[in-house]
Amino acid sequence: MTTDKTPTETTEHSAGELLKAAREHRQWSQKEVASQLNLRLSLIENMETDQYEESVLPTFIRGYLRSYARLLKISEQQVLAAYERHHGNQAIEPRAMHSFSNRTEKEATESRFMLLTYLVGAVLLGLLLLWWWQTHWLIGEPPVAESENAGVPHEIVNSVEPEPLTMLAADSQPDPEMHTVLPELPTSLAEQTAPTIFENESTQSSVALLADPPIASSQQLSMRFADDCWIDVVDADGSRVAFGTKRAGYQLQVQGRAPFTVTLGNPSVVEIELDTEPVDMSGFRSGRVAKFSVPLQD
Amino acid sequence: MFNKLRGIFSNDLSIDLGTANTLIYVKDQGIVLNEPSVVAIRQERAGGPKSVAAVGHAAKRMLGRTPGNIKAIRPMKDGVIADFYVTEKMLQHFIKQAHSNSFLRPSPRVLVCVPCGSTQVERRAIRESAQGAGAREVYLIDEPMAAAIGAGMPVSEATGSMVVDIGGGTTEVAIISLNGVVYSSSVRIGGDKFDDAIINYIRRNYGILIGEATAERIKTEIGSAYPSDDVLEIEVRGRNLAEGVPRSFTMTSNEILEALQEPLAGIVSSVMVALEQSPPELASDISERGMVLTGGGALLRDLDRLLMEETGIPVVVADEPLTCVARGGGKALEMIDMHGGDVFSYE
Repeated sequence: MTTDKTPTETTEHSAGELLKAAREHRQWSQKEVASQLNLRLSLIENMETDQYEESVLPTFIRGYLRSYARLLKISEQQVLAAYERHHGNQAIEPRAMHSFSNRTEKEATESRFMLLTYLVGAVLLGLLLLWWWQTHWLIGEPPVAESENAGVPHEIVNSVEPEPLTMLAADSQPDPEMHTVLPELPTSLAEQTAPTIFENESTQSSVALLADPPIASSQQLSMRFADDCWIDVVDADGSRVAFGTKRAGYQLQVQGRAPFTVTLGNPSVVEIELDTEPVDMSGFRSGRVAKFSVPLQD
Repeated sequence: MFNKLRGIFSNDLSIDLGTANTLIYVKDQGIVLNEPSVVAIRQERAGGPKSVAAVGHAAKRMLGRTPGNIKAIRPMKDGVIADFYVTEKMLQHFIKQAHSNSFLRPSPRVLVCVPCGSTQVERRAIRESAQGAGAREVYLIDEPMAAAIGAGMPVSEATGSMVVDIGGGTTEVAIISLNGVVYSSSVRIGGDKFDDAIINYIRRNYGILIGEATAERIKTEIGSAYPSDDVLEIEVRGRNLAEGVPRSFTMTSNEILEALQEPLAGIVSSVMVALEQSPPELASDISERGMVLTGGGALLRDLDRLLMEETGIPVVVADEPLTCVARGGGKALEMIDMHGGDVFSYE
């Protein structure tokens, strides 16, 4: 903190000059002053020449100047003002504090972990949104069958086995996977039993009411159940067109490409017709699972 | 949650809850409040509801001049809370006064300075009264630490800094290095004891009774801690104990010096003990640079001279010694966010 006097300030006395003049006026030596103030002689010399060591803080310099001025009975304010004039802001600014606690480091580490957590959370949220958007947007695409079947007396239930929904929906062309279950019941009854059909098919996932126009090559397979029976029907394309337990009195109509591979839990209670042509079920024993293809092959 | 919201509209406060004066420092605004720690309580009839009649300067003017239904109370004694309810009311009033925003009740973070000799019970009382007054979070800091920071001493450096904070109720002597208190002691001698000593001296030697306010005036105007060539005089009025009528008389600074001998000796001896107890490395730092006086007591004329003569080491009076503690607390509070709270004290 060494400051040399600039020529412009020669008219105003510096703090050191003021103190030196007052001391000489009283005819005291620097040594006497040093012993009175309990300060080092070098410090008194420095004060009078306005040159301070770096290690001496402004707080102390101002204090020493104040004590010195009071000892010499001159105005403290005048001396301090002169000192501040010479040293500017340095004269007042204390040294910056610093901390030894590792709290800030800890917090920095913790915040990094928190950031990572937020990042993972954001990615998960993003994936969720993506999934939602895909399913919603794509499922909304296929036309809903209600308009076409508005006048049709049966409730049309599309029975689809658990297959990826997106794949199912993405096929916009008339496809053989889509088959309808049409209970052959009077109109009035159909409406009443429709909800029960839904309930009965608890094992099936009925997703949407779809009625794609049947393709020319497809054949219709009708099944009538005299008693509860578990069935699994796969058509020639390998897609499963009917699956699950059917109740007694239930009529099932599926369309697909022949031959169908049919598995029946209890073949004796089922009557099958392929395009109104009855299939001979006498060859299957009651109480045993039957797996065969329709039309029957020898 | 709502507290946090209110916190956005509140300033962080550093409160020097002193026996004589309470100061509040706000970041970027400086000292926003400096009022005597006095509350005037009005109670219309015995057992009736109490209400606050005045706080601060207005209440201090009432001290010793109140009618039966008003009581002017100084809720702090010897640096700690003597009356919990009144302290809480006073803090509430001051915190509100420090916020210009009157729409939301302020909920600031508050740092309160406590004497280093205060017990756990006393610290908890201060913490709870600050919370009761609406503080969102309360931090405590040792008074000498705050004083040293406020005086601009190098508390974070590996050098010993000695600070003597002479407040209204207590004198705190501490040696600080690396943000920690190496040695501290607190004696219950302060401005109040000086006033009492003056009252007793005048009663004993003049047979005249004076009030606390008069004693304080004598102390600030002509009080001195070291014999000086120029003798100051003051004219004082008080009640003559023998005649029972008010009388006026003249006192000199030398008489006051004599009156203050006992409390001054207490302060000097606590400083001497601190120097004796200090580790040698720190003692050499202190003898090189000197100790710093803060607090209202540092304004007593020639107190630095007295300590210089008694200890043989330089003594420096801080700039604006009255506000050192509050300013230092404010700086410490600013440090919370940047660094850790290693300068704070815990219960």
